[in-house]
Amino acid sequence: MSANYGYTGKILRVNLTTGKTWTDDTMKYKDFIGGEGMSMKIMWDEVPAGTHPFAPENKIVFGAGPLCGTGVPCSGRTNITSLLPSNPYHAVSSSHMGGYFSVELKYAGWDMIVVEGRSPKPVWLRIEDDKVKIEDGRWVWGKGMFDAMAMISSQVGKEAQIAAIGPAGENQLNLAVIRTGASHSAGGHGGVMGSKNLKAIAVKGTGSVKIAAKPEEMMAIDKYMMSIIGANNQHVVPRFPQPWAEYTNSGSRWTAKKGLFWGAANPPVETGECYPEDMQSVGLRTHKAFQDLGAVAEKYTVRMGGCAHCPIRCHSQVRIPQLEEKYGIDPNVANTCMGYSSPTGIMFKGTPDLPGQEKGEQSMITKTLGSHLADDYGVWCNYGQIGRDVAWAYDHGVFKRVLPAEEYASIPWDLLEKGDPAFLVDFYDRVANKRGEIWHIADGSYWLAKRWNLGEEYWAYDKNKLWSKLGFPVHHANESQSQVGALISCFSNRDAQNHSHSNFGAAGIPIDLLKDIAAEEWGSRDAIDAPKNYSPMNASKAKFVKWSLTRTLLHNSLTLCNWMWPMATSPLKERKYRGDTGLEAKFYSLVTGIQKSKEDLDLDAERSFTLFRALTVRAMGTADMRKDHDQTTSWVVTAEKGKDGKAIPQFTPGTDRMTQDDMELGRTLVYKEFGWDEKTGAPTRARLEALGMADVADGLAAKGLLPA
Amino acid sequence: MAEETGLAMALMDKIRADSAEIRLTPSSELQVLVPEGADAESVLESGSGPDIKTMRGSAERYYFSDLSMTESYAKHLYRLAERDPVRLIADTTRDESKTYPRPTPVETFLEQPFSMARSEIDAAIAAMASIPEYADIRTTSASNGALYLYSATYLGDAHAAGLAEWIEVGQKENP
Ligand code: SF4
Repeated sequence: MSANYGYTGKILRVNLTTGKTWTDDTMKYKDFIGGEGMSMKIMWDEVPAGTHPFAPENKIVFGAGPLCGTGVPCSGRTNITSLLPSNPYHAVSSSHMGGYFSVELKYAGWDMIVVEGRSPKPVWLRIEDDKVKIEDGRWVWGKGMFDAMAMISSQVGKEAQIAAIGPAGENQLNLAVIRTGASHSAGGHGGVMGSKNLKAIAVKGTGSVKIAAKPEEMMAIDKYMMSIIGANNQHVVPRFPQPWAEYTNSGSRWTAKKGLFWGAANPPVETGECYPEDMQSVGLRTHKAFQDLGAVAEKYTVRMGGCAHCPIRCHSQVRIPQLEEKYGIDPNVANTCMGYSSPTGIMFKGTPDLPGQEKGEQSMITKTLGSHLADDYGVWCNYGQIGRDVAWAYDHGVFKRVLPAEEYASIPWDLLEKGDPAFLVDFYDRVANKRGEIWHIADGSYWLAKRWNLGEEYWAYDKNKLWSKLGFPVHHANESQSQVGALISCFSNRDAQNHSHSNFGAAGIPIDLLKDIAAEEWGSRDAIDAPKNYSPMNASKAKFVKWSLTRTLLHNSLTLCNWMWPMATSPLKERKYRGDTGLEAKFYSLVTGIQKSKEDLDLDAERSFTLFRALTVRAMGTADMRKDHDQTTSWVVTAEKGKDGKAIPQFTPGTDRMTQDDMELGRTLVYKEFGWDEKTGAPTRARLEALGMADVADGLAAKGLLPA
Repeated sequence: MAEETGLAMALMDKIRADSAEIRLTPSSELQVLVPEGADAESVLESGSGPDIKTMRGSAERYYFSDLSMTESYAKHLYRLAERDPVRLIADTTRDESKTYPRPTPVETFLEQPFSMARSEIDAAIAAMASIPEYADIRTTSASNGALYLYSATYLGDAHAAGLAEWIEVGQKENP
């Protein structure tokens, strides 16, 4: 087909069983926008229910969206969709990585890659513009990701962008990542690539993405966007008092201040005051090493890194000589957020500083060493759950019970007890290489609980933070905007990865201002509660839930970074801290030349989200989503105890716990917002047809999965 | 009248210049700029630009231009200028408990512009306990030991404790 603005118009299809590659037309999926939405449609059409994630019949889709590669701020993300091994029903789910991979893919002329089948031997995929070749990968199989990427780079050129798996993916662990660049990991689907004997995809593009608008129109909207953007997570007030700032927030990722440096840069770079009007200092606002690794990391910080076309740069790049001296690994480490914090979860006994160390140094070493190991082996942490599972199994005698005595005795528990991060060197090797029994910790919580018979207590214990018996943890759930975050997590097949609501609530401005904005967006100030001071469920919260679910899917389809977007708030007092939630549609219309309002795009995203729901119904073989899918673990709806040991009743200040009745009302109201069956929460024929998906309705009907 | 306007302009120039350097202008520094017999405060009262703001301290007034700093930042400088660390901590805590609402980590006062020593902060908090006008200021600790302050006028005990735990521990565990 002819080239389209924004879209390249082409999907690369690869069958690794036959070795055949061919081109598909992107635009036949145009109702699903791009990235995640289009991937959902491909999974619906082509991967039957009951397929195992590691079977050749499963497909894995690497998706870029129409805004990717166009220079729109924070548009460098890659969406990956496939069956999810850690989910009990192997339901379809998506993982996401940043970096430069999807942008390079677009430059090579492709919107997406769909891989199916299984190669008889290890391979890697070489894409150089329209030249596609399946290359022998035996010489990189078994290598850690850092070596493998360097080796493939030596073949295809250092300008190539590579997405690869490590031993964890090759060994088909349920918890395995796909990584690109130095630090951009998508957790959950590494084993799917491994099952296909696909070590890596390397892509090099020499083209560009065509934009419908005139350059000056793009420049103008870009400038406008840059006036609205805040710091990472769209935090719009600084952490520390600044002369220009009306508000501050101690949780803000806008950490820049006078006297805070990228201390290992040459010469050191001061983050400074970062006035909101100064576009040139946007990339200095978020000192992510300071945020993630603590004040001790300042002098080790070389710079911030991040994804293509992102002015924020939320991945810190640090140089820590102690890593080389003590553990013989590269002292240069890059990562962000959970990549750094999950290793400290595994070291749950604490990592006290040793004599002679600075305050927080041992924790910094643990985080950077652990992130390097996890990134090299390609082990996914299930959003930090792996550490809590280690803690539970250790503290409750599970390891002693299930590990053969010889294996138990061989594990250096003394290092864990002492807080010596060398424990991680042993741990990740055992897990990624499937040694003994302990590696099953990377089966994911559902499978682990079954295999090791962890019992009801495991799910009910609040500090385990397990949100759902489907085996995924809290990820901006009830603690993020009360029922809004809680309900968002209920619609997921894995940790929710939704920041549309959490960024809004954590923007940093006072609750009264947030409520004013909430009233404009979702019809009532009651759409949002102050943290830990919740009111019962209402219809405007349900609108906020729907908006968050669909906006996040929209971002993963366009592809925009949902760790920044949507721009619901801004740092600008003169705008009364309002952002612009119509920006996605403005960019989409300018880039593609297809005029869409924000309501149009929201409807497109709703179509995709409803399809995702239908996929889950099909995977689980039941329409009763309310009962079988959308429930939480019991701690979520149990009153918590205050410091005095007394229960804090729900809906009184000081608690973020929910009640079962209120959550059921919440489910009903959200189902209603989506036009789904209010009893079961399944999409109805009428709604599917209204969204142009009669075929999906027919598919569900054929299996008896449409609600009565 | 023209002379008066010229005088007000000179005073405003001084205030704006000070504010550009992120400092408040005490009325004593303005008084030396006016002729004998004139009163700088009255000159400004009878006509000053909309950006010129003032706060009354215990001994004199402080001025700033909101073109260079926000009122909230000026308040911090004002409280510092008043040299009453107990009041500074209490009033800052009250503002945060009321405005956001949230408890205030004591670490706040180690940072600029406060730059207080830990011992000074601890002494101020200890002193508050025996002064009736600060009876609303309370403390709560998160599970990692971090100390937070809050005003009971605006935040209940359980609420403050829950928020401190969330800000200090929960938020970091859920990046
Ligand atoms: S905010 Fe971070 S994750 Fe998002 S695009 Fe920027 S660098 Fe990438």
